[in-house]
Amino acid sequence: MSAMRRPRWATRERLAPVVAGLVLMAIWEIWVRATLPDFVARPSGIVMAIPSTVASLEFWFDVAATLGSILEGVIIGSAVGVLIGVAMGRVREIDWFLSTYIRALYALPLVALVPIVILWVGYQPAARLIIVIISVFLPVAVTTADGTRAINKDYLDVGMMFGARTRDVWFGIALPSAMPFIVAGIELGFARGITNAIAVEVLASVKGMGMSVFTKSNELNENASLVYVVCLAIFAVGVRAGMIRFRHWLAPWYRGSH
Amino acid sequence: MNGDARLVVENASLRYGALDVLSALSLTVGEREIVSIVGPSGCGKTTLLRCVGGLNQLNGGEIRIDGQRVEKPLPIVSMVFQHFGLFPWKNLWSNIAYGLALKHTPKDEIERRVSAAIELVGLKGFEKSYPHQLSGGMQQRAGLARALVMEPKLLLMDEPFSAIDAQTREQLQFELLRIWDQRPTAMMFVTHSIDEAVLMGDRVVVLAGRPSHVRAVRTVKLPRPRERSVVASSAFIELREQVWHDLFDQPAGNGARVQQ
Repeated sequence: MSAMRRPRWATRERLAPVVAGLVLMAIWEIWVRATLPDFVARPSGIVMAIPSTVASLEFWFDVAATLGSILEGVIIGSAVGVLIGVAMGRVREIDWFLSTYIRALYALPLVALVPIVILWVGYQPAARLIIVIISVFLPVAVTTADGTRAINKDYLDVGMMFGARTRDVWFGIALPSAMPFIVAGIELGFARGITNAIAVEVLASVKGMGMSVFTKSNELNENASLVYVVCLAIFAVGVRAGMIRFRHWLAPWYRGSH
Repeated sequence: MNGDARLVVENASLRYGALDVLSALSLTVGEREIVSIVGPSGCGKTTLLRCVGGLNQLNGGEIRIDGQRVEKPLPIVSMVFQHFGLFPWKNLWSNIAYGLALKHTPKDEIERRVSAAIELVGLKGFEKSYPHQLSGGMQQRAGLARALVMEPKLLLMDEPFSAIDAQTREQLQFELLRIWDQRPTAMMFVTHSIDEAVLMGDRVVVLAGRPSHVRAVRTVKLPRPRERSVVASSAFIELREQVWHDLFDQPAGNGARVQQ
């Protein structure tokens, strides 16, 4: 291979997913047109449904309600998760008390908690927020605990040698050195938060993007329903890209898998 | 020995479980003296240094610095670490200012002392760089500056140049000697290199045996400031031979305790 071919190869690598997407949508489009009734969603129908969906006030209310609730939940859940996580990572006794329950909840599908949360707060947006907060809190607490427990011993020696007090170790050494772990926890929490926010909307009839996916679909307006799905997908992809940048900004020294 | 002893280690003993690491070990370091500690790997020389730093505790005996018993790290002692120990999330300036910032030193004083330390170790222009952007040699310069900026009365060096490539190591050895000539202080220099021990030290303490004890103390009568030419002198070569024999010869009557 000559050196000239390299950039072309790189471009082809980037084009591959685009081509795959186009082929899949073409198959979808042809399949639906050939074999299924008109109201079944197809790519051209989704594109045509974008203007009318996006023009409605209801759409923007849904977006604001769902994404706003997710962002709020992520911020609260991360903050609480980091504090509890550092305490668990640095104080063995706190870890003894909490670890079992936090790890058990972490392994549990949180959708199972939705009925209980509805009992507490009713069929309200607060139910969604609570579930998102728990969804984010658990992975952030677990990764923060693991990250602050596994500090490079050299850093602790340096801290001791230069007179660091407990709080200097917690917030000056443990927390920054665990930053890549914490961001990984937030990223995981974000993904779970999105999933569970949608689940709460559907299970508890809380107004938002997830509920609209179902109501539009029930009204046989499948194309509009899928506009919401596409928007959620774009949000999820954007969150992932944002988290990678966030980690790079917070922990430029860390060379992770991407 | 010149001046009074700044550091006194008396009858130090240390065990890890059933393993005796140090026993009845005594040594001193004068106010303006560099004492090199050499010994085979695993002999406990780094552990001894950490005890002097207050990072580890002895099981018996006593360590005093300026008459103060060491039970935890003392503010008049600084350490330079084998793997540098720089915080990757702080730039060089903040890494070097770390000890002063912990003590809530006034801003302008930090500014002044950190700038001077950075100048001293030749890192001017790299204040804003992060450790992962720098070579090992430059990182250890920063480690040295972080220790020196505290103006310690005793400087502990834990194999500071062993993780650095050979050429940079030689360069740093002579720079450390130059810095020491400018502001001489008590220094305990742990190394596994006999050459380095002789080059740096006013005295070389040879640890050996199981558990480790002081097998020999050699006084280094090489002139200061030490120039590069000193390593070719017959005095240097002779001392290096002596220390080599101290380390590797079987002492008569004690052979059973030393593994081959």
